[in-house]
Amino acid sequence: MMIITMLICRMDGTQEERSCEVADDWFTPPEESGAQGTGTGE
Amino acid sequence: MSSTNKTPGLGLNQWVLSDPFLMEDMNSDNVKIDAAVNSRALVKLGHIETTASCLVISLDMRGIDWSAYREVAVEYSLKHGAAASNYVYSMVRGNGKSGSSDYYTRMLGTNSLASKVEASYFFTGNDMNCGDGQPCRHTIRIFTDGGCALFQDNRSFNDMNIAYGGVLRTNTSSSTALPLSQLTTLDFSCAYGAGTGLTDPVYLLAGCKFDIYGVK
Repeated sequence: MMIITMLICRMDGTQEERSCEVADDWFTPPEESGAQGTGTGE
Repeated sequence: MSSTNKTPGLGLNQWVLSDPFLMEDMNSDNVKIDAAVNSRALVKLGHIETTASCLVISLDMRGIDWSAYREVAVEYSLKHGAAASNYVYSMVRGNGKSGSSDYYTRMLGTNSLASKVEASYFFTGNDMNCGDGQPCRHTIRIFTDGGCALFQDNRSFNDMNIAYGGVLRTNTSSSTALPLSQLTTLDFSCAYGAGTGLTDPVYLLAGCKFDIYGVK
């Protein structure tokens, strides 16, 4: 687990910084939802 | 009615000099104008421009009267701190989900339903601008009768309005649609990786912009 910085944004424009615990690989999507080939320009 | 002429749209009074000018006519016009303004198709619910950097921007969706709209759209552009040489991906999850499996997979062709949930995942280009100095814009459309879709405007790669869609689910293994009244947050984050795979999270910088609209 790791601690990351989260910014809570509300509809009225107010913002609040918080820390939250996430999985170490929280930023890694699963294989089947990988990047779209059409987005690479290749 | 006492005015000789009426406007073509709402039928508001248009007086000529010989017409009597009556309070009732003015009040009637104001009622029509008020009703028309309140029934307008697009209602801006909020505008947010972030003032601090972070790894996740959590947009609070509570308080939205979902019954008042047939759709709620979130248009946004992100700024990030990764080097321009990196491909950066941005992801959207929901309800504070943080696991790597808490994405909702895209809808392409007949793959109409997300097998996972609660968020989406899409490519945005390496610097999140459109090659012309303008931010790459994205829009999430949440339909109140079920389903959602994500569009991106990525002109640097000649990709306009690439769409991903799916259904918000209550959890990753459930086929039950998530009631919108239970949608508390949309959570935005970015990651990058050279070549294949994403290797590192990316800080979102101050200046990320969000506009939230209700569509009647």
